[in-house]
Amino acid sequence: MVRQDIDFIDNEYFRIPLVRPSRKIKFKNISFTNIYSLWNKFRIKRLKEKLSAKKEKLIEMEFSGEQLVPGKKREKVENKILKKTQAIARLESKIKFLETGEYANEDFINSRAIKLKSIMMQNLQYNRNSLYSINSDGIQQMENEDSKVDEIINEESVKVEEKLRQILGEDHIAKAKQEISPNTQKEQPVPRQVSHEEIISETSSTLNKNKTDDTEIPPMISDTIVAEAIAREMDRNDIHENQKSYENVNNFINEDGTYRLKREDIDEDFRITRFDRSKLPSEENEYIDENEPNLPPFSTNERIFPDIELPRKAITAMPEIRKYEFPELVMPSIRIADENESTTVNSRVVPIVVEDRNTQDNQSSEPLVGGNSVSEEEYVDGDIYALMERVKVLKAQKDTITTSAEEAAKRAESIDAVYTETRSKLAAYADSLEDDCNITYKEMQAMESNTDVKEEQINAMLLMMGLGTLDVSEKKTRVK
Amino acid sequence: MIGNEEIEKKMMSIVAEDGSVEEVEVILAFEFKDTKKEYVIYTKNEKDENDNITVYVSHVDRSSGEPKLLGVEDEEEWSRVKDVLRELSKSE
Repeated sequence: MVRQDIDFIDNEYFRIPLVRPSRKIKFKNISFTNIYSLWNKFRIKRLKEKLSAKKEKLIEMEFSGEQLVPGKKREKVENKILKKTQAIARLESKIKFLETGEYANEDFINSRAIKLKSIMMQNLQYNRNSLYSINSDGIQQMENEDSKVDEIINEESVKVEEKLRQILGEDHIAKAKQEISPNTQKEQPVPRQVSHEEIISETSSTLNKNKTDDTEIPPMISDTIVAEAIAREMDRNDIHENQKSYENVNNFINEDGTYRLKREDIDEDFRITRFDRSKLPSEENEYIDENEPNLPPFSTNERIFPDIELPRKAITAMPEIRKYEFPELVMPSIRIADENESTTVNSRVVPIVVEDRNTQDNQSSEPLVGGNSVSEEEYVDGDIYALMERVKVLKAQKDTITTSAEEAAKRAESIDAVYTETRSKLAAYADSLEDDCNITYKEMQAMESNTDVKEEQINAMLLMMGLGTLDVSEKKTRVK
Repeated sequence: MIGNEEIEKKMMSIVAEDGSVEEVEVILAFEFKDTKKEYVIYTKNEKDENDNITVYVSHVDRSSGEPKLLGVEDEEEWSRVKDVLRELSKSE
């Protein structure tokens, strides 16, 4: 067809020169009309497209005084709608979590919110005839349609509530309420429960996060519904089941009191990564594996209940290790000196008696190592992880003991040095005393002999003088 | 006019060699997709005794920058243009 070989065009022609004469052709009236109308239709369509684009731009603009400026009103409306759709998207993610246990990330929620917003915007009725009266009618129209957005939001929230009711069901709610009783908790070794009020308040605050003063978001889910949703979630997660009934707990605890878990449920720090329902053992004990590690039960104080926001890992207590007890350090015994034992080179014996330190301290013949701080019977042969843990503990013990031994050696060495020094000082002191005694004794002897000589001389002199002799008692008194 | 699906006439001012200016009405403008040659068909609203309307066909040359109207010299080209007009005249 020739028609497909051409493109209609609609250019402007202003004072175009005629260089060469044009070709002439005659048409009947109807033919002329056909050609004319065909081309005009093309022109009208083209013009409409141009005007439509211009009109859309104008709609977004608003008057500032007498001038049209880029409109903020539409932007405000869009932002308002986006906030509401974000709230709806969050609700949807909560519902999805309650249904499937899968958590939707923030990117998904934002994408969903934007999509909902575009759908809402498409559904809004813009008054295209307000192209030339954008100042009043168009804006008013947008404000009126804002209320339509609120109606849509309300309808959505009602639908969400209905859906929640269908999901939760009355039976589960009653069952959950019945099974969460204080008596049941006392009878079983259960982890710490997060209180219902805490969960409800946190969920409600999350759901109502978008509430601001200038938005009119109605309360989408009441606390009752939230409580029911949480109860349902606790049912589905089975962790709650484990808490609630002793019979269920027995499904996960061996007879010796250890938990029955698969290795893949635990990370390298012995923390449970996910309490997956499908991995829990059934009544037929399908999941029991004798070779799986038996870990001690969780501490009641350290189990953290996963909340609605679903933390990545549940934190549990490390396996308990008995406290290492250091025995008292024993100094090497000091040799007891015998009372008659000679400690000096001199012939004169000066007895040295040293107190036996061992009489004061505990005398222990045991080596300076700690006893087993980890009971061997807690670990099964071939359990590599338990062995690794034991190695870790023993390494730590070895370091501690080595440090203590080094300190003890240093102390012994210093004491030996002090002992040797003191002993030599004492010997020197003894020698000096002996020397002094000897010297004094010799002086005394010398003095005595002099005295005797003098006494004899006195007697001699007295005899010569005829005065008799000196009284003996006086002599003795003087000498002593 | 837009609301009634009518549009203003497209007028064109043709400057003759002697410098005179004539206002004509453009009734069609198109180009061939393969050659990109632009043609304008205009009328001076001339009718004969049978009420047939005379239209003029010129080739718009924009090669020199400023548009100018040239005649359709090539017969094959002219035949092709006539085929287009014939077909368009038949369509409703």
